[in-house]
Amino acid sequence: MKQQAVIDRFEDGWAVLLIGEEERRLNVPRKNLPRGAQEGHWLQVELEGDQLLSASIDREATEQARQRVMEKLERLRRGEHLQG
Amino acid sequence: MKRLLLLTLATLLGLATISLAQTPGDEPPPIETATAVDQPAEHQSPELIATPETPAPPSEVPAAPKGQLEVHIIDVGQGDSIFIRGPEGQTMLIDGGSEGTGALQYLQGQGVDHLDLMLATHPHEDHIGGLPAILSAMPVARVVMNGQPTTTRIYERLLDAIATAKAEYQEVKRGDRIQLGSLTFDVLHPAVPTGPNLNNQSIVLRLIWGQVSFMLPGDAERETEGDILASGQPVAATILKLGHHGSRTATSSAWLKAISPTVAIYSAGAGNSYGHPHPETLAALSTAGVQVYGTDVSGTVVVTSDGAGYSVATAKRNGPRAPPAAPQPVPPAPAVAPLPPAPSAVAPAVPAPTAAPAPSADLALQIVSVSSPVRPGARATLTAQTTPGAQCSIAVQYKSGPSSASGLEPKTADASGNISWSWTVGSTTTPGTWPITATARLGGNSLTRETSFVVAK
Repeated sequence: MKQQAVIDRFEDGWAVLLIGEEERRLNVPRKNLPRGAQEGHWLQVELEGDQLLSASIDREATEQARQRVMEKLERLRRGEHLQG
Repeated sequence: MKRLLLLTLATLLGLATISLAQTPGDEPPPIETATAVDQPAEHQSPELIATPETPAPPSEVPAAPKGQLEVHIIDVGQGDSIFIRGPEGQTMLIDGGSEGTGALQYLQGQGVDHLDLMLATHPHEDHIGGLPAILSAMPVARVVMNGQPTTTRIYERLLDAIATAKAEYQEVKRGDRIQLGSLTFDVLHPAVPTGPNLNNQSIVLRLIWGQVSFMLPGDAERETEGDILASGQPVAATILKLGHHGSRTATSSAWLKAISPTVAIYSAGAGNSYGHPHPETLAALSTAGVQVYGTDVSGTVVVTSDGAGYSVATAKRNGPRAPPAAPQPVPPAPAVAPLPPAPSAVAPAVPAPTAAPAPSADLALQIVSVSSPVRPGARATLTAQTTPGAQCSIAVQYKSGPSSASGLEPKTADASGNISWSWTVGSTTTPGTWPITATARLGGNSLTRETSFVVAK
């Protein structure tokens, strides 16, 4: 079953993935991720237990998340949350 | 009642940050003067002062500080969370560990019911995960971040929580200063708001408190250390929070040499997947004679300072960890009592945090005073207060090694718990700041406190 995951960070040879809605933390070997995978990239992953069977970069989901957080960040920067 | 110190203690868009800038040409604002010290904590608001056009003047001249500063490196497993209680009761949290790792419970156990300032060094999950719950649980006046976004849900939830809490939101960069009552944090990094490596966008803070100073570099790695050194900003510090959990990717020899700390503290989870702290880092610290504490072996580590000296207290184990280069493996933590209270002029009595076991024996030790500075050839005296009848020992560590001066023999505290040692600093003693460790033992328990003194030229 394919799931969504996001790359939170790299620690030496590990990539720290946050899996699914609940962002369960999972360390996977960095070399098992697609070439060019970066912090903040969203992935489609296939897992068997904690074993990563496949992973691909989900550029659309990455871009959607990026736009969502940037809108929220800009609202904080403008102080809109302090009004009203 | 004595207070129990829980000691045991993508590159996204580089949009412009909100303007904190003064108009170019303005003089940098002065460091707050001592009058601020007398303001009630409730009326203190952390003030952020940005001086992007003018480098901040070095804050090397210590104002005479009043009261106690506490810096708590909280045991949050594999992550970072640092609680700072200022001399006027100001409260600040730097990072919050991963979600559900106890930072909130620790704060509540310390009697903290609001934060004047919350700062996220960078948006990795092991630093920001615990912050949304804290924003939901208590008032937070201001949140400071580096302006580097990421795309994780936990980051998005942090932004949501800041908005819901109606906390002021600000971003800082190199040359800014964060004022929190009488505490001034110099922001050494990042120079630019966004970069390709989130660790290397960490907010790096330096805090000077009288003669004691702290370097708090988040997860900054060697590349950033080099960048900060190249910038020419002062970095020397008494206490170094090791970058990136003691990873070999941080704490370069040049960085360590420039900071020249007496004490280094890292935050890492026992048995973590990444091998933090890395043996190379511990070996370099050992070679440099730096005392090392880690939350994996000591639990929460608390540094308390009156601005003249400092003491280090740990939750699980007394004293620094054994040097990693020693042929013997690090011994298991001895069964010792957690530390009893340290006196604090500002901290209210609070119940023991849930993370701290109750003390099993009433052994106390507090360094009351130490001569500093002392010229070579002159007499130095250290006085301490402990439990009556406690067996006490002292170690003075110079560059050449431990002092064997007469007067430093073990002693038994008198019926009032008073104890003092006087010794002569050798005429050829190397000038510098040298650590002093005092240990009290009673009924199978032991307790260690540390301070340092300056041998003048």
